[in-house]
Amino acid sequence: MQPILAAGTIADFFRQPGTWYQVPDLAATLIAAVIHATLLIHIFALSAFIFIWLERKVAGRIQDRLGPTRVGGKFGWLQSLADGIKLIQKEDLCPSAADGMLFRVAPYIACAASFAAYIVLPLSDGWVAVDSDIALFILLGLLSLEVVAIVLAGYSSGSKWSLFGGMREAAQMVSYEIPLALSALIPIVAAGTLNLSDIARMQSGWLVNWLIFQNPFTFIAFFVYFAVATAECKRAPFDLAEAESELVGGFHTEYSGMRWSFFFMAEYASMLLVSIVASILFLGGWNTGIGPIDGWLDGLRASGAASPAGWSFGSWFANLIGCIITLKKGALLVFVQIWVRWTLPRLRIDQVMLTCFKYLLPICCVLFLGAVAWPIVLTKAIGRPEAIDWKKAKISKPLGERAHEVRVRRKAERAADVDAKPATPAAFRGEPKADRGRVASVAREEGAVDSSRDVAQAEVSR
Amino acid sequence: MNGAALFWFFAAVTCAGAVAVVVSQNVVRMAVWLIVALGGAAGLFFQLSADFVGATQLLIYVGGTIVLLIFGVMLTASGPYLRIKTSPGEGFLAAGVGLLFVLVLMSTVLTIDWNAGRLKLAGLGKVSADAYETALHKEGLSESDRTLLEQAYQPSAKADHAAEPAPKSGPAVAENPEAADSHGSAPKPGDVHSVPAALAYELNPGRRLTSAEAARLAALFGQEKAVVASAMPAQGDTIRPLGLALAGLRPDRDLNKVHAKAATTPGYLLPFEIVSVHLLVVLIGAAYLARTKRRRVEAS
Repeated sequence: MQPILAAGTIADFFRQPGTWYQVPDLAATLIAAVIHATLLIHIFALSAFIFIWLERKVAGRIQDRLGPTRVGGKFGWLQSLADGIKLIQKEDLCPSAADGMLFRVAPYIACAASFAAYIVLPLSDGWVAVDSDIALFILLGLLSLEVVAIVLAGYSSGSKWSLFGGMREAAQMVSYEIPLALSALIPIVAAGTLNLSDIARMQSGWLVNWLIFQNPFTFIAFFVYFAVATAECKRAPFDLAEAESELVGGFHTEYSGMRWSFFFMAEYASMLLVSIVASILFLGGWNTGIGPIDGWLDGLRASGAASPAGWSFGSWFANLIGCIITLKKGALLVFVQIWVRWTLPRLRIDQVMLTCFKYLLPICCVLFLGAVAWPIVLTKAIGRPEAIDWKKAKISKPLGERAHEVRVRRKAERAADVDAKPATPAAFRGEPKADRGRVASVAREEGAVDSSRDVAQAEVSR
Repeated sequence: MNGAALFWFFAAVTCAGAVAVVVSQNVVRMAVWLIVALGGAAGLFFQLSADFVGATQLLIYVGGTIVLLIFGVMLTASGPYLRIKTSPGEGFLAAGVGLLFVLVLMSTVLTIDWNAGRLKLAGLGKVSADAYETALHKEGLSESDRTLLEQAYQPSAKADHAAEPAPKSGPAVAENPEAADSHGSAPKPGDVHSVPAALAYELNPGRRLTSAEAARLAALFGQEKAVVASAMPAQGDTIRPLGLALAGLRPDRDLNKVHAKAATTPGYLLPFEIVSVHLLVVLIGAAYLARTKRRRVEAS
């Protein structure tokens, strides 16, 4: 198993004894952590930079305007920079009715929560700060911290608009976390792992390998997930917390300057985050969806891993392409979110809650049930029921592998039958020399069909 | 060393947050400090490679419970409940209870023989007589090492008694095997390696080892790496066994056993079910309490 901390390799580099760059143990860890954090914070900050410009541009086009055109050439692509410079110059206000400490700390919590979730997000095969086995779970846990910042900002501002915004936000986020987790669970059921890198890796190959096309339930789950994730990022049509027509500015009414912009950096960063997660869970992650190209890239990665340095230019190049593909898929979904925002009207708070509890939640439960029942029905339908027989199959393995093993075993047995040799327990290699194994071999010698039901009958008859 | 530095950082954050919860008087600030304390505890869980517990801590306590707490405070924001002032008497009482709890914890921590535990994890809790004799009669064994070996290990009781835990007793037992005598098959006191009947040697519970001694013992048995490895937390990847155990399966224990019909380890299905039913009852109760009370409206 590869180390959980990818940063461990950088730290080990700086720990090599006898080299001029050897530094103390703790310093090496800190250097590795700083390198990883710096790389990640660029994705965090630059994505906000680009998407704020995109939001203005798309909004303009949808409303039959031009959007920004002046700053930075024809398309106004430096508009975000101009915004940033303007915001930095603004006075940092704190209302006298506010709870000063909480008011000041809330934007940082929002940013930190959104940024921390990037730690477990793989951008390409191995390009991840912490390759955890429960990456998705940690990610959802960290993402749920953002609501704390919104609620604190709403409470500590000392303004009734902020308070209303914060209360709406708390109610909305806490409710939408349930369908979010449930809809993210459906591809997990299909994949059999919570490790985002593994999930993306197993979607390599042609388009049909993407988990969205795995079964009808994951297909619907993708759209449910996307709607819920939009609500979780408090984007329109679910942006009740900052409904400017009713609440002035909602939770950020009293904020100004950079503190105000921190909330929006966090919002755009979490938009990209949930979009990349959607692309990894449903849309193949860093895989192109074209079989031969994916095979070629995987080969490059494998060659790099096999080389003595554990690294080669080819594997680096393959990962760079993978990273670009992941970011492109994420950006495309963010574009859809922006598109939806400027197309659909805002819901009322009761409609938001109704959507969650009366529609999304039951849909998610049905999808979950279906996704769990699907492999059972499917293995019966294609005639490999041994794959889900927990007494025989190694249940700790993913179902796909088990079904494949049954197929391989059947093939081997058929070959053995064709050779007209007495069946040997070798076909059951990996299984213990159990009574059941002997029964099975006896049953096969009697020419019985090798399905588990017959084996079970043979067992009963004995 | 890294682990130690990070541990102290997270421990300090956790403790500072916990103290601030007690000291601050504003309810919302208390909640914020509670976030700090719980987040620090989550960091400690992550550091122990208990990723699942850490993430659960973040998701349920920090992201869920605390948000609901602040939400509740916001709904009742005005009035006397926003500030909580404790009287000096309450403060003393709380401090006394807290100190007692710290004492209990400290006494527990100090009672456990951590170094022996590390040796046991490395598979040296019980060594065969052969291995023990080989180590004892190695060429160039220094006198201090010999005494260490003799003191740290004692011949274990009969093979059928082997599964029983070693008798818990004071340091006096090390040289005076009265407790072992009560088992019936005890070796004579004195030099242990002169007893031929012993099949195996186990760690002497009466001899407390320092960490240097534990490492030295492991080195004598040629397993110094094992002790270092066992001192470090295991890698993650606990989620699948955990989930299966909650579903009532322990593939790590008994899947693919020789006898399929032998009793299987039950896992944690029953406790899990009980907790689920309990939660369901709580949910129904909450819905019942929160329902619109029509009859009262009609009556008035």
